[in-house]
Amino acid sequence: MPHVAAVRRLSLRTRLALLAAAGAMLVLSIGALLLYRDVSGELSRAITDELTVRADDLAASLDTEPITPAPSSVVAQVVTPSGQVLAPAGLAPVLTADELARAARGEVIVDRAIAGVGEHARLLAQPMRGPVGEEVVGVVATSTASLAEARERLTIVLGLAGPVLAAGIGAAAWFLTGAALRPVRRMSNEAATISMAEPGRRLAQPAGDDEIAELGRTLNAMLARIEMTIAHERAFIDDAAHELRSPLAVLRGELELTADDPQDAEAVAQGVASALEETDRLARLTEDLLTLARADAGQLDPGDARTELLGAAEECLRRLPHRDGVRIEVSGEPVTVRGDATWIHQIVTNLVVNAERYARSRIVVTTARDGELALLVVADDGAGFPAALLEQAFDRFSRGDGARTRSGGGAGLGLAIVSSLADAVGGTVRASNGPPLGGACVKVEVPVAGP
Amino acid sequence: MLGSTNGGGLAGRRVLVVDDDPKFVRIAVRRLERAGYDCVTGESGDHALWAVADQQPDVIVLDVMMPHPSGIEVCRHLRADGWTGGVVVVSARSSPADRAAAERAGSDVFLGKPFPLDDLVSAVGRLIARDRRPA
Repeated sequence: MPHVAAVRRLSLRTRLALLAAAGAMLVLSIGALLLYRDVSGELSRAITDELTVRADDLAASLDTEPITPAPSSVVAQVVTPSGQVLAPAGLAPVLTADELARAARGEVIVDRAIAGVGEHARLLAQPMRGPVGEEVVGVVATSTASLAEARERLTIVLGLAGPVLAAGIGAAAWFLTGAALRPVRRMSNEAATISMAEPGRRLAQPAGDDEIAELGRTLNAMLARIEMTIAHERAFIDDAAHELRSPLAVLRGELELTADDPQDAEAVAQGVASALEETDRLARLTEDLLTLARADAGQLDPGDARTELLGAAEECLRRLPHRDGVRIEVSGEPVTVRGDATWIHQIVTNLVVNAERYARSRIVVTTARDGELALLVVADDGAGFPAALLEQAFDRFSRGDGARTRSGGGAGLGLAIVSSLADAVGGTVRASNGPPLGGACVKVEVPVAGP
Repeated sequence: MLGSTNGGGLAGRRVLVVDDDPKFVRIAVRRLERAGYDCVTGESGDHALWAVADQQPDVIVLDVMMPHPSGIEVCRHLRADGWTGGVVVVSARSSPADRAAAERAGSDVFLGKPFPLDDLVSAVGRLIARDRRPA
Protein backbone atom coordinates (compact mmCIF):
# COMPACT_ATOMS: atom_id res chain seq x y z
CA MET A 1 0.00 0.00 0.00
CA PRO A 2 1.37 3.40 -0.92
CA HIS A 3 1.04 4.99 2.54
CA VAL A 4 2.85 2.03 4.14
CA ALA A 5 5.67 2.49 1.65
CA ALA A 6 5.73 6.22 2.41
CA VAL A 7 6.04 5.52 6.16
CA ARG A 8 8.86 3.04 5.51
CA ARG A 9 10.74 5.73 3.61
CA LEU A 10 10.89 7.81 6.80
CA SER A 11 13.88 7.30 9.07
CA LEU A 12 13.44 5.03 12.09
CA ARG A 13 14.05 8.07 14.29
CA THR A 14 11.23 10.04 12.60
CA ARG A 15 8.90 7.06 12.76
CA LEU A 16 9.55 6.52 16.47
CA ALA A 17 9.03 10.25 17.21
CA LEU A 18 5.77 10.28 15.23
CA LEU A 19 4.64 7.10 16.96
CA ALA A 20 5.41 8.56 20.40
CA ALA A 21 3.53 11.79 19.52
CA ALA A 22 0.53 9.87 18.16
CA GLY A 23 0.47 7.58 21.18
CA ALA A 24 0.70 10.55 23.54
CA MET A 25 -2.07 12.33 21.65
CA LEU A 26 -4.34 9.29 21.96
CA VAL A 27 -3.71 8.86 25.70
CA LEU A 28 -4.08 12.60 26.37
CA SER A 29 -7.32 12.77 24.36
CA ILE A 30 -8.84 9.89 26.32
CA GLY A 31 -7.64 11.51 29.57
CA ALA A 32 -9.06 14.90 28.57
CA LEU A 33 -12.43 13.36 27.67
CA LEU A 34 -12.64 11.54 31.02
CA LEU A 35 -11.58 14.69 32.90
CA TYR A 36 -14.13 16.79 31.01
CA ARG A 37 -16.87 14.29 31.76
CA ASP A 38 -16.00 14.12 35.46
CA VAL A 39 -15.62 17.86 36.07
CA SER A 40 -18.64 18.79 33.99
CA GLY A 41 -20.76 16.06 35.63
CA GLU A 42 -19.70 17.19 39.10
CA LEU A 43 -20.63 20.83 38.42
CA SER A 44 -23.93 19.79 36.86
CA ARG A 45 -24.76 17.58 39.84
CA ALA A 46 -24.04 20.45 42.24
CA ILE A 47 -26.54 22.69 40.40
CA THR A 48 -29.18 19.96 40.41
CA ASP A 49 -28.57 19.33 44.12
CA GLU A 50 -29.05 23.02 44.84
CA LEU A 51 -32.31 23.04 42.85
CA THR A 52 -33.50 19.97 44.77
CA VAL A 53 -32.81 21.69 48.10
CA ARG A 54 -34.64 24.80 46.87
CA ALA A 55 -37.55 22.70 45.67
CA ASP A 56 -37.74 21.08 49.12
CA ASP A 57 -37.67 24.53 50.74
CA LEU A 58 -40.43 25.66 48.39
CA ALA A 59 -42.56 22.63 49.24
CA ALA A 60 -42.09 23.35 52.96
CA SER A 61 -42.97 26.99 52.52
CA LEU A 62 -46.32 26.10 50.93
CA ASP A 63 -47.78 25.53 54.43
CA THR A 64 -47.67 29.24 55.07
CA GLU A 65 -50.10 31.83 53.72
CA PRO A 66 -49.54 33.64 51.52
CA ILE A 67 -47.04 31.59 49.48
CA THR A 68 -43.74 33.49 49.50
CA PRO A 69 -40.74 31.71 48.04
CA ALA A 70 -37.58 32.55 49.97
CA PRO A 71 -35.49 35.11 48.10
CA SER A 72 -32.30 33.60 46.61
CA SER A 73 -30.45 33.26 43.34
CA VAL A 74 -32.98 30.62 42.54
CA VAL A 75 -36.19 31.65 40.80
CA ALA A 76 -39.17 29.85 42.32
CA GLN A 77 -42.74 29.64 41.12
CA VAL A 78 -45.85 27.78 42.19
CA VAL A 79 -48.44 27.01 39.52
CA THR A 80 -51.70 25.10 39.43
CA PRO A 81 -51.93 22.04 37.16
CA SER A 82 -53.97 24.22 34.81
CA GLY A 83 -51.10 26.70 34.47
CA GLN A 84 -52.23 29.51 36.73
CA VAL A 85 -49.32 31.11 38.61
CA LEU A 86 -50.10 31.12 42.32
CA ALA A 87 -46.88 32.80 43.42
CA PRO A 88 -45.22 35.07 42.94
CA ALA A 89 -48.46 36.57 41.64
CA GLY A 90 -48.44 38.41 38.36
CA LEU A 91 -45.52 36.58 36.70
CA ALA A 92 -45.76 34.69 33.43
CA PRO A 93 -45.57 30.89 33.90
CA VAL A 94 -42.03 29.44 33.50
CA LEU A 95 -43.20 25.96 32.41
CA THR A 96 -44.48 25.18 28.95
CA ALA A 97 -47.76 23.26 28.76
CA ASP A 98 -45.89 20.04 28.02
CA GLU A 99 -43.45 20.54 30.88
CA LEU A 100 -46.38 21.34 33.22
CA ALA A 101 -48.22 18.17 32.22
CA ARG A 102 -45.10 16.04 32.87
CA ALA A 103 -44.32 17.88 36.16
CA ALA A 104 -47.83 17.17 37.44
CA ARG A 105 -46.97 13.45 37.20
CA GLY A 106 -43.42 13.62 38.60
CA GLU A 107 -40.11 15.48 38.80
CA VAL A 108 -38.90 17.18 35.60
CA ILE A 109 -35.44 18.68 35.02
CA VAL A 110 -34.90 20.77 31.87
CA ASP A 111 -31.92 22.79 30.65
CA ARG A 112 -32.95 25.72 28.50
CA ALA A 113 -33.06 29.51 28.26
CA ILE A 114 -35.45 30.92 30.86
CA ALA A 115 -36.72 34.52 30.80
CA GLY A 116 -35.44 36.40 33.84
CA VAL A 117 -32.75 33.73 34.56
CA GLY A 118 -30.59 33.70 31.48
CA GLU A 119 -29.56 32.01 28.28
CA HIS A 120 -28.12 29.03 30.17
CA ALA A 121 -30.53 27.87 32.85
CA ARG A 122 -31.96 24.73 34.48
CA LEU A 123 -35.37 24.27 35.96
CA LEU A 124 -36.69 21.62 38.32
CA ALA A 125 -40.46 21.16 38.57
CA GLN A 126 -42.31 18.65 40.75
CA PRO A 127 -45.80 18.04 42.10
CA MET A 128 -46.44 19.51 45.58
CA ARG A 129 -49.33 19.96 48.02
CA GLY A 130 -50.72 23.52 48.43
CA PRO A 131 -51.69 25.10 51.81
CA VAL A 132 -55.05 23.35 51.77
CA GLY A 133 -53.80 20.12 50.33
CA GLU A 134 -54.57 20.91 46.71
CA GLU A 135 -52.25 19.69 43.95
CA VAL A 136 -49.85 22.31 42.68
CA VAL A 137 -46.54 22.25 40.77
CA GLY A 138 -43.48 23.86 42.31
CA VAL A 139 -40.83 25.19 39.89
CA VAL A 140 -37.31 26.27 40.81
CA ALA A 141 -34.79 27.48 38.23
CA THR A 142 -31.25 28.77 38.34
CA SER A 143 -28.59 29.98 35.95
CA THR A 144 -26.10 27.42 34.56
CA ALA A 145 -23.89 30.10 33.01
CA SER A 146 -21.03 29.13 35.35
CA LEU A 147 -21.30 25.51 34.18
CA ALA A 148 -21.25 26.52 30.51
CA GLU A 149 -18.31 28.79 31.16
CA ALA A 150 -16.41 26.07 33.01
CA ARG A 151 -17.06 23.61 30.17
CA GLU A 152 -15.86 26.15 27.62
CA ARG A 153 -12.69 26.83 29.61
CA LEU A 154 -12.02 23.09 30.02
CA THR A 155 -12.45 22.53 26.28
CA ILE A 156 -9.95 25.29 25.47
CA VAL A 157 -7.37 24.17 28.05
CA LEU A 158 -7.58 20.47 27.16
CA GLY A 159 -7.76 21.18 23.43
CA LEU A 160 -4.55 23.21 23.56
CA ALA A 161 -2.65 21.25 26.20
CA GLY A 162 -3.14 17.89 24.45
CA PRO A 163 -1.41 18.74 21.17
CA VAL A 164 1.31 20.78 22.92
CA LEU A 165 2.11 17.90 25.27
CA ALA A 166 2.01 15.37 22.42
CA ALA A 167 4.39 17.52 20.36
CA GLY A 168 6.68 17.78 23.39
CA ILE A 169 6.70 14.03 23.88
CA GLY A 170 7.33 13.55 20.14
CA ALA A 171 10.29 15.96 20.30
CA ALA A 172 11.66 14.21 23.39
CA ALA A 173 11.36 10.87 21.60
CA TRP A 174 13.17 12.38 18.58
CA PHE A 175 16.13 13.52 20.69
CA LEU A 176 16.29 10.36 22.82
CA THR A 177 16.07 8.07 19.77
CA GLY A 178 18.75 10.16 18.08
CA ALA A 179 21.02 9.71 21.08
CA ALA A 180 20.29 5.99 21.29
CA LEU A 181 20.85 5.47 17.57
CA ARG A 182 24.03 7.57 17.37
CA PRO A 183 26.34 4.53 17.80
CA VAL A 184 24.35 2.72 15.09
CA ARG A 185 24.75 5.71 12.76
CA ARG A 186 28.47 5.81 13.54
CA MET A 187 28.81 2.07 12.81
CA SER A 188 26.82 2.51 9.60
CA ASN A 189 29.14 5.31 8.44
CA GLU A 190 32.19 3.25 9.38
CA ALA A 191 30.84 0.14 7.64
CA ALA A 192 30.30 2.18 4.47
CA THR A 193 34.01 2.99 4.32
CA ILE A 194 35.24 -0.57 5.01
CA SER A 195 36.46 -2.39 1.95
CA MET A 196 38.43 -5.56 1.46
CA ALA A 197 41.40 -3.37 0.50
CA GLU A 198 41.95 -2.97 4.24
CA PRO A 199 41.82 -6.47 5.65
CA GLY A 200 41.59 -6.60 9.42
CA ARG A 201 39.68 -3.33 9.72
CA ARG A 202 36.74 -3.57 12.10
CA LEU A 203 33.93 -1.34 13.39
CA ALA A 204 34.70 0.55 16.60
CA GLN A 205 33.08 -1.56 19.30
CA PRO A 206 30.42 0.51 21.18
CA ALA A 207 31.03 0.58 24.94
CA GLY A 208 28.82 -1.37 27.33
CA ASP A 209 26.95 -4.61 27.02
CA ASP A 210 23.64 -3.49 25.54
CA GLU A 211 21.93 -4.38 22.26
CA ILE A 212 24.02 -1.83 20.33
CA ALA A 213 27.26 -3.32 21.67
CA GLU A 214 25.97 -6.77 20.74
CA LEU A 215 25.19 -5.50 17.23
CA GLY A 216 28.76 -4.22 16.99
CA ARG A 217 30.17 -7.58 18.09
CA THR A 218 27.91 -9.47 15.67
CA LEU A 219 28.88 -7.23 12.73
CA ASN A 220 32.59 -7.54 13.53
CA ALA A 221 32.29 -11.32 13.76
CA MET A 222 30.54 -11.29 10.38
CA LEU A 223 33.33 -9.16 8.88
CA ALA A 224 35.90 -11.65 10.20
CA ARG A 225 34.01 -14.56 8.62
CA ILE A 226 33.66 -12.74 5.28
CA GLU A 227 37.35 -11.85 5.35
CA MET A 228 38.32 -15.45 6.03
CA THR A 229 36.16 -16.68 3.15
CA ILE A 230 37.67 -14.10 0.79
CA ALA A 231 41.21 -14.98 1.91
CA HIS A 232 40.39 -18.65 1.33
CA GLU A 233 39.02 -17.87 -2.16
CA ARG A 234 42.04 -15.70 -3.02
CA ALA A 235 44.46 -18.39 -1.90
CA PHE A 236 42.55 -20.94 -3.98
CA ILE A 237 42.60 -18.70 -7.07
CA ASP A 238 46.29 -17.96 -6.52
CA ASP A 239 47.13 -21.65 -6.19
CA ALA A 240 44.96 -22.52 -9.18
CA ALA A 241 46.66 -19.85 -11.33
CA HIS A 242 50.06 -21.18 -10.28
CA GLU A 243 49.09 -24.75 -11.15
CA LEU A 244 47.80 -23.64 -14.55
CA ARG A 245 50.93 -21.59 -15.33
CA SER A 246 53.32 -24.54 -14.99
CA PRO A 247 51.80 -26.67 -17.80
CA LEU A 248 51.30 -23.47 -19.81
CA ALA A 249 55.03 -22.71 -19.50
CA VAL A 250 55.88 -26.17 -20.86
CA LEU A 251 53.24 -25.89 -23.60
CA ARG A 252 54.56 -22.52 -24.68
CA GLY A 253 58.17 -23.76 -24.58
CA GLU A 254 57.37 -26.81 -26.71
CA LEU A 255 55.57 -24.65 -29.29
CA GLU A 256 58.44 -22.15 -29.40
CA LEU A 257 61.05 -24.88 -29.90
CA THR A 258 58.94 -26.48 -32.63
CA ALA A 259 58.44 -23.14 -34.37
CA ASP A 260 62.17 -22.37 -34.14
CA ASP A 261 63.15 -25.54 -35.96
CA PRO A 262 60.22 -26.89 -37.99
CA GLN A 263 62.54 -28.96 -40.21
CA ASP A 264 63.59 -31.33 -37.44
CA ALA A 265 60.80 -33.91 -37.86
CA GLU A 266 61.76 -35.91 -34.76
CA ALA A 267 61.88 -32.82 -32.57
CA VAL A 268 58.57 -31.61 -33.98
CA ALA A 269 56.91 -34.98 -33.24
CA GLN A 270 58.33 -34.97 -29.71
CA GLY A 271 57.25 -31.37 -29.15
CA VAL A 272 53.71 -32.01 -30.38
CA ALA A 273 53.40 -35.15 -28.22
CA SER A 274 54.64 -33.25 -25.19
CA ALA A 275 52.29 -30.32 -25.94
CA LEU A 276 49.37 -32.75 -26.14
CA GLU A 277 50.36 -34.23 -22.78
CA GLU A 278 50.42 -30.76 -21.25
CA THR A 279 47.02 -30.02 -22.79
CA ASP A 280 45.66 -33.16 -21.10
CA ARG A 281 47.27 -32.07 -17.85
CA LEU A 282 45.61 -28.65 -18.16
CA ALA A 283 42.25 -30.25 -18.95
CA ARG A 284 42.50 -32.57 -15.92
CA LEU A 285 43.54 -29.70 -13.72
CA THR A 286 40.66 -27.53 -14.95
CA GLU A 287 38.24 -30.40 -14.29
CA ASP A 288 39.62 -30.85 -10.77
CA LEU A 289 39.36 -27.12 -10.05
CA LEU A 290 35.78 -27.11 -11.30
CA THR A 291 34.92 -30.08 -9.08
CA LEU A 292 36.31 -28.22 -6.06
CA ALA A 293 34.54 -24.99 -7.03
CA ARG A 294 31.27 -26.96 -7.27
CA ALA A 295 31.98 -28.53 -3.87
CA ASP A 296 32.50 -25.03 -2.39
CA ALA A 297 29.21 -23.89 -3.91
CA GLY A 298 27.44 -26.97 -2.50
CA GLN A 299 26.68 -28.15 -6.05
CA LEU A 300 28.26 -31.60 -5.93
CA ASP A 301 25.25 -33.84 -6.39
CA PRO A 302 25.78 -37.60 -6.13
CA GLY A 303 22.24 -38.11 -7.45
CA ASP A 304 19.83 -40.81 -6.35
CA ALA A 305 21.76 -43.66 -7.97
CA ARG A 306 23.33 -46.44 -5.87
CA THR A 307 26.51 -48.29 -6.60
CA GLU A 308 28.02 -51.46 -5.23
CA LEU A 309 31.38 -50.33 -3.88
CA LEU A 310 33.52 -53.48 -4.35
CA GLY A 311 32.35 -54.07 -7.93
CA ALA A 312 32.84 -50.41 -8.84
CA ALA A 313 36.39 -50.41 -7.38
CA GLU A 314 37.30 -53.59 -9.36
CA GLU A 315 35.85 -52.12 -12.55
CA CYS A 316 37.70 -48.84 -12.01
CA LEU A 317 41.06 -50.56 -11.43
CA ARG A 318 40.61 -52.70 -14.58
CA ARG A 319 40.36 -49.50 -16.60
CA LEU A 320 43.11 -47.54 -14.85
CA PRO A 321 46.60 -47.65 -16.46
CA HIS A 322 49.04 -49.04 -13.89
CA ARG A 323 52.59 -48.21 -12.96
CA ASP A 324 54.97 -51.05 -13.69
CA GLY A 325 56.28 -52.87 -10.67
CA VAL A 326 53.32 -52.07 -8.43
CA ARG A 327 50.75 -54.78 -7.74
CA ILE A 328 47.24 -53.73 -6.85
CA GLU A 329 44.96 -56.11 -4.95
CA VAL A 330 41.23 -55.57 -4.47
CA SER A 331 39.20 -57.52 -1.90
CA GLY A 332 36.42 -57.18 0.66
CA GLU A 333 32.67 -57.51 0.96
CA PRO A 334 30.09 -56.04 -1.39
CA VAL A 335 28.33 -53.02 0.05
CA THR A 336 25.98 -50.58 -1.70
CA VAL A 337 26.44 -46.85 -1.29
CA ARG A 338 24.75 -43.71 -2.58
CA GLY A 339 26.14 -42.08 -5.75
CA ASP A 340 26.62 -43.25 -9.32
CA ALA A 341 29.56 -45.35 -10.53
CA THR A 342 31.43 -42.28 -11.85
CA TRP A 343 31.35 -40.89 -8.32
CA ILE A 344 32.97 -44.03 -6.89
CA HIS A 345 35.41 -44.29 -9.80
CA GLN A 346 36.66 -40.78 -9.14
CA ILE A 347 37.28 -41.56 -5.46
CA VAL A 348 39.03 -44.87 -6.21
CA THR A 349 41.06 -43.39 -9.09
CA ASN A 350 42.32 -40.43 -7.06
CA LEU A 351 43.29 -42.63 -4.11
CA VAL A 352 45.03 -45.28 -6.23
CA VAL A 353 46.84 -42.75 -8.44
CA ASN A 354 48.09 -41.02 -5.30
CA ALA A 355 49.17 -44.36 -3.75
CA GLU A 356 50.98 -45.38 -6.95
CA ARG A 357 53.20 -42.32 -6.71
CA TYR A 358 54.61 -43.45 -3.40
CA ALA A 359 54.13 -47.26 -3.31
CA ARG A 360 57.22 -49.43 -3.55
CA SER A 361 55.56 -52.56 -4.92
CA ARG A 362 52.10 -53.09 -3.48
CA ILE A 363 48.73 -51.40 -3.04
CA VAL A 364 45.66 -52.96 -1.42
CA VAL A 365 42.11 -51.74 -1.94
CA THR A 366 39.55 -53.20 0.48
CA THR A 367 35.86 -52.63 1.06
CA ALA A 368 33.85 -53.53 4.17
CA ARG A 369 30.65 -52.80 6.00
CA ASP A 370 30.69 -51.54 9.58
CA GLY A 371 27.10 -51.14 10.76
CA GLU A 372 25.57 -48.34 8.73
CA LEU A 373 28.94 -47.33 7.25
CA ALA A 374 30.63 -48.56 4.11
CA LEU A 375 34.44 -48.52 4.27
CA LEU A 376 36.87 -48.13 1.41
CA VAL A 377 40.54 -48.44 2.37
CA VAL A 378 43.46 -47.77 0.01
CA ALA A 379 46.88 -48.57 1.50
CA ASP A 380 50.39 -48.77 0.05
CA ASP A 381 53.84 -49.97 1.14
CA GLY A 382 55.59 -46.64 0.48
CA ALA A 383 57.13 -44.26 2.99
CA GLY A 384 53.75 -42.95 4.15
CA PHE A 385 52.66 -39.36 4.61
CA PRO A 386 55.33 -37.08 6.09
CA ALA A 387 54.30 -36.57 9.74
CA ALA A 388 53.87 -32.81 9.20
CA LEU A 389 51.50 -33.42 6.30
CA LEU A 390 49.25 -36.00 7.92
CA GLU A 391 46.89 -33.31 9.25
CA GLN A 392 46.80 -31.43 5.93
CA ALA A 393 46.68 -34.46 3.64
CA PHE A 394 43.23 -33.45 2.35
CA ASP A 395 43.95 -29.72 2.02
CA ARG A 396 44.00 -28.34 -1.49
CA PHE A 397 47.37 -28.06 -3.18
CA SER A 398 49.07 -29.88 -0.30
CA ARG A 399 51.91 -32.07 -1.46
CA GLY A 400 54.22 -34.57 0.09
CA ASP A 401 57.40 -32.54 -0.04
CA GLY A 402 56.26 -29.02 0.69
CA ALA A 403 56.85 -28.13 -2.96
CA ARG A 404 55.89 -29.65 -6.25
CA THR A 405 56.72 -33.18 -7.15
CA ARG A 406 56.31 -32.70 -10.84
CA SER A 407 57.83 -36.10 -11.47
CA GLY A 408 54.89 -37.45 -9.43
CA GLY A 409 52.55 -35.39 -11.56
CA GLY A 410 50.07 -34.27 -8.91
CA ALA A 411 48.84 -30.78 -8.25
CA GLY A 412 47.81 -31.73 -4.73
CA LEU A 413 44.10 -31.79 -5.55
CA GLY A 414 43.39 -35.54 -5.71
CA LEU A 415 42.86 -36.15 -1.99
CA ALA A 416 41.06 -32.81 -1.58
CA ILE A 417 38.59 -33.97 -4.23
CA VAL A 418 38.14 -37.35 -2.50
CA SER A 419 37.35 -35.47 0.69
CA SER A 420 34.80 -33.25 -1.09
CA LEU A 421 33.16 -36.22 -2.85
CA ALA A 422 32.88 -38.18 0.41
CA ASP A 423 31.58 -35.11 2.21
CA ALA A 424 28.84 -34.66 -0.40
CA VAL A 425 27.33 -38.07 0.53
CA GLY A 426 27.74 -37.46 4.25
CA GLY A 427 31.00 -39.38 4.58
CA THR A 428 34.49 -38.74 5.96
CA VAL A 429 38.09 -39.52 5.03
CA ARG A 430 41.08 -40.18 7.29
CA ALA A 431 44.76 -40.53 6.52
CA SER A 432 47.21 -42.55 8.57
CA ASN A 433 50.56 -44.30 8.32
CA GLY A 434 51.33 -47.91 9.20
CA PRO A 435 48.99 -50.89 8.90
CA PRO A 436 48.11 -52.75 6.80
CA LEU A 437 51.18 -52.37 4.52
CA GLY A 438 53.40 -50.06 6.54
CA GLY A 439 52.96 -47.08 4.22
CA ALA A 440 50.15 -44.58 3.75
CA CYS A 441 46.56 -45.64 4.41
CA VAL A 442 43.46 -43.64 3.45
CA LYS A 443 40.12 -44.74 4.86
CA VAL A 444 36.87 -43.45 3.33
CA GLU A 445 33.67 -43.94 5.34
CA VAL A 446 30.33 -43.26 3.67
CA PRO A 447 26.82 -44.15 4.81
CA VAL A 448 25.39 -47.37 3.38
CA ALA A 449 22.57 -46.64 0.88
CA GLY A 450 19.14 -47.04 2.45
CA PRO A 451 16.73 -49.77 1.32
CA MET B 1 68.29 -14.69 -32.87
CA LEU B 2 70.43 -17.75 -32.60
CA GLY B 3 73.20 -16.01 -34.45
CA SER B 4 73.19 -12.98 -32.24
CA THR B 5 73.35 -14.94 -28.96
CA ASN B 6 75.70 -17.56 -30.27
CA GLY B 7 78.17 -15.23 -31.88
CA GLY B 8 79.70 -13.70 -28.77
CA GLY B 9 82.19 -16.39 -27.87
CA LEU B 10 79.85 -18.37 -25.62
CA ALA B 11 81.69 -21.68 -25.97
CA GLY B 12 82.42 -23.08 -22.54
CA ARG B 13 79.88 -20.82 -20.84
CA ARG B 14 77.96 -23.12 -18.57
CA VAL B 15 74.35 -22.77 -17.40
CA LEU B 16 72.82 -24.89 -14.62
CA VAL B 17 69.06 -25.41 -15.03
CA VAL B 18 67.25 -26.64 -11.90
CA ASP B 19 63.52 -27.42 -11.88
CA ASP B 20 61.53 -30.38 -10.55
CA ASP B 21 59.52 -30.42 -13.80
CA PRO B 22 61.72 -32.52 -16.16
CA LYS B 23 59.80 -31.29 -19.20
CA PHE B 24 60.54 -27.67 -18.41
CA VAL B 25 64.21 -28.53 -17.80
CA ARG B 26 64.41 -30.28 -21.18
CA ILE B 27 62.84 -27.30 -22.99
CA ALA B 28 65.06 -24.70 -21.29
CA VAL B 29 68.18 -26.77 -21.90
CA ARG B 30 67.32 -27.28 -25.55
CA ARG B 31 66.81 -23.58 -26.12
CA LEU B 32 69.96 -22.58 -24.21
CA GLU B 33 72.04 -25.19 -26.06
CA ARG B 34 70.75 -23.85 -29.36
CA ALA B 35 71.96 -20.46 -28.16
CA GLY B 36 75.41 -21.98 -27.64
CA TYR B 37 75.60 -22.63 -23.92
CA ASP B 38 76.74 -25.79 -22.17
CA CYS B 39 73.99 -26.93 -19.85
CA VAL B 40 73.88 -29.06 -16.75
CA THR B 41 70.67 -29.91 -14.92
CA GLY B 42 69.27 -30.64 -11.49
CA GLU B 43 65.80 -31.45 -10.15
CA SER B 44 65.97 -30.32 -6.53
CA GLY B 45 67.53 -27.71 -4.29
CA ASP B 46 70.11 -30.20 -3.04
CA HIS B 47 71.10 -31.01 -6.64
CA ALA B 48 71.51 -27.31 -7.32
CA LEU B 49 73.89 -26.74 -4.39
CA TRP B 50 75.92 -29.80 -5.29
CA ALA B 51 76.07 -28.90 -9.01
CA VAL B 52 77.22 -25.33 -8.37
CA ALA B 53 80.16 -26.66 -6.38
CA ASP B 54 80.89 -29.49 -8.79
CA GLN B 55 80.16 -27.99 -12.22
CA GLN B 56 81.13 -24.32 -11.68
CA PRO B 57 78.33 -22.84 -13.81
CA ASP B 58 78.43 -19.17 -14.91
CA VAL B 59 74.68 -18.74 -14.50
CA ILE B 60 72.02 -20.81 -12.79
CA VAL B 61 68.34 -20.93 -13.75
CA LEU B 62 66.39 -21.79 -10.59
CA ASP B 63 62.75 -22.74 -10.15
CA VAL B 64 61.28 -21.57 -6.82
CA MET B 65 58.85 -24.36 -5.94
CA MET B 66 61.16 -27.36 -5.69
CA PRO B 67 61.71 -30.19 -3.28
CA HIS B 68 63.72 -29.08 -0.31
CA PRO B 69 65.36 -26.60 -0.24
CA SER B 70 63.38 -24.18 -2.41
CA GLY B 71 64.97 -22.09 -5.17
CA ILE B 72 64.91 -19.01 -2.91
CA GLU B 73 66.75 -20.92 -0.17
CA VAL B 74 69.33 -22.16 -2.68
CA CYS B 75 69.93 -18.61 -3.93
CA ARG B 76 70.27 -17.22 -0.39
CA HIS B 77 72.68 -20.02 0.50
CA LEU B 78 74.86 -19.46 -2.59
CA ARG B 79 75.08 -15.71 -2.00
CA ALA B 80 75.90 -16.28 1.67
CA ASP B 81 78.74 -18.54 0.51
CA GLY B 82 80.03 -15.71 -1.69
CA TRP B 83 79.03 -17.17 -5.04
CA THR B 84 78.91 -14.31 -7.57
CA GLY B 85 77.53 -15.97 -10.72
CA GLY B 86 74.24 -14.91 -12.29
CA VAL B 87 70.96 -16.25 -10.89
CA VAL B 88 67.77 -16.32 -12.98
CA VAL B 89 64.75 -17.25 -10.88
CA VAL B 90 61.79 -18.73 -12.77
CA SER B 91 58.46 -19.30 -11.04
CA ALA B 92 54.79 -19.84 -11.70
CA ARG B 93 54.20 -17.61 -8.68
CA SER B 94 55.06 -14.12 -9.79
CA SER B 95 53.31 -11.71 -7.44
CA PRO B 96 55.23 -8.58 -6.36
CA ALA B 97 55.88 -10.36 -3.02
CA ASP B 98 57.37 -13.38 -4.83
CA ARG B 99 59.59 -11.10 -6.94
CA ALA B 100 60.70 -9.16 -3.87
CA ALA B 101 61.56 -12.40 -2.01
CA ALA B 102 63.70 -13.55 -4.94
CA GLU B 103 65.46 -10.19 -5.08
CA ARG B 104 66.13 -10.20 -1.34
CA ALA B 105 67.64 -13.68 -1.67
CA GLY B 106 70.14 -12.23 -4.17
CA SER B 107 68.74 -13.23 -7.57
CA ASP B 108 69.53 -11.09 -10.62
CA VAL B 109 66.55 -11.73 -12.90
CA PHE B 110 62.99 -12.95 -12.22
CA LEU B 111 60.93 -14.57 -14.98
CA GLY B 112 57.27 -15.43 -14.31
CA LYS B 113 56.07 -18.63 -16.01
CA PRO B 114 55.00 -18.87 -18.77
CA PHE B 115 57.58 -16.64 -20.50
CA PRO B 116 59.08 -16.50 -24.00
CA LEU B 117 62.23 -18.67 -24.12
CA ASP B 118 64.03 -15.75 -25.80
CA ASP B 119 63.64 -13.84 -22.51
CA LEU B 120 65.52 -16.62 -20.75
CA VAL B 121 68.27 -16.65 -23.38
CA SER B 122 68.71 -12.88 -23.29
CA ALA B 123 68.69 -12.81 -19.45
CA VAL B 124 71.41 -15.48 -19.35
CA GLY B 125 73.35 -13.56 -22.05
CA ARG B 126 73.17 -10.30 -20.07
CA LEU B 127 74.41 -11.95 -16.88
CA ILE B 128 77.36 -13.59 -18.65
CA ALA B 129 78.25 -10.30 -20.35
CA ARG B 130 78.12 -8.58 -16.94
CA ASP B 131 80.50 -11.12 -15.42
CA ARG B 132 82.94 -10.78 -18.32
CA ARG B 133 83.11 -7.01 -17.91
CA PRO B 134 86.21 -5.96 -15.98
CA ALA B 135 85.40 -4.95 -12.43
